[in-house]
Amino acid sequence: MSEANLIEGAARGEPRAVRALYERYAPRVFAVVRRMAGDDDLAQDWAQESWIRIFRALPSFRGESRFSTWIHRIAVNTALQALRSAGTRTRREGEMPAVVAIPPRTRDVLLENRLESALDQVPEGMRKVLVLHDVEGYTHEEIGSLLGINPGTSKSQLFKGRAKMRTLLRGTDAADREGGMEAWNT
Amino acid sequence: MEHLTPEALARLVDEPPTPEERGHLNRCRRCRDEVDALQAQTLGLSHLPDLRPPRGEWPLLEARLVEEGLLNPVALAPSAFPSASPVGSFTPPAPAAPGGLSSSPGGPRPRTRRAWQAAAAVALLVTGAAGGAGGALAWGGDAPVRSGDASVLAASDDPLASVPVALGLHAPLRTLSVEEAEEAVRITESWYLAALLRYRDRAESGSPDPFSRYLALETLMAAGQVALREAPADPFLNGLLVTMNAERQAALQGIRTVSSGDPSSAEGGEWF
Repeated sequence: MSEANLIEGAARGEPRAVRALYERYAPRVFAVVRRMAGDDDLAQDWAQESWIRIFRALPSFRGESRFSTWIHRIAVNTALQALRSAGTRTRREGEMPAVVAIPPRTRDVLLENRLESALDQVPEGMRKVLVLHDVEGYTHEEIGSLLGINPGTSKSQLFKGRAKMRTLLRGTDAADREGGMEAWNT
Repeated sequence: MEHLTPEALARLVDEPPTPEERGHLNRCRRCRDEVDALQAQTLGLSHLPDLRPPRGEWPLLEARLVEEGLLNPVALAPSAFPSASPVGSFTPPAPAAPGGLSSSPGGPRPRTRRAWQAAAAVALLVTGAAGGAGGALAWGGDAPVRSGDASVLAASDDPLASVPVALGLHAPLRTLSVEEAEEAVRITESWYLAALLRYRDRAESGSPDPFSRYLALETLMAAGQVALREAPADPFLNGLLVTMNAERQAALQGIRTVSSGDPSSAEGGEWF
């Protein structure tokens, strides 16, 4: 079944089409909200909210942008809105993230896990810009528009976020080296 | 020697250095290495793969989509079952179509199910057939049995041995292929939920307050979801969650019926 048919069917609430669209895009939606959330439980709530909004808005999808882009934008907006709302900042600083299943699409799973862990520990303000720019490929102008900030502020947050990530990863490197040395010496 | 600030180094991933910065980088190995590391970090972030959502996400979303009216009622939703249809008229949903999804709008259980779900279905079926719900779930008479196979089930001492016959399968349950087991899951799950609904229709209502019951079921669902996160492949927990979700949906429907003030759909004052 073509994507256009799936969209049409899902807009009518047809279970097969709804499920098929979900299966196709669930990893994309979950990835973006998970990284924006920095927390598994929040990510699950936000992903579900994103999907509700997606299916609610589906009848209004006119195909002016690619469907994947449209879905992605809704997921990002849902996450940003949730970040803005009170009560979502409950994550403890320094809390280690739970393991998230990563499809073995790329081979360096260890590096990916380290990046994901470090990303989770970057403060929220920097993290959302870092995710949007370095992970999702948004421009500073687009980020500025999404977040209601000017592109200069977006750049500043990005550079701080990258530097923070670097510090966190350097810490991991040092810990790995120490652990390796300890293991070597015992 | 004063090194470049971390933010300046991070900027050099995207932007060219100023003449002063270039001069420093030419002299400073440490800052050059930092820029290299930041470039590698940025490249790594841009190649992060998508993330698989937790296993339990779809059933929760499915239930919510049904609640919101965004998904036509499916197997898990009580309205998809023939609680108001004539006795004995229930027909299990049609077999799943090739390509992965059910062809029946009334039973869109996907075929992308896993072995634990097959196990869950067996558990559900055994529970039902072995006298679940106080004996009201007999597999003959009023129960949703297909094409007169009830006697086979009733006569057997081993419910597992009888299941394939009741399902129209041609192999013993213990030797079913994954696909056949998936089909068995779908059908038995539907039967179990339909039987449960019929039982509830007929049983005396023990709960005069649908709101309290709904809240209690919400609490149970939340606890079940937490438990399922700990053990996502546990067939017992999965089966339990399926049942609780059906009950919760029915409770919600009961509240809606009462709230809408439609006495005909309230069935003589009973909630469900």
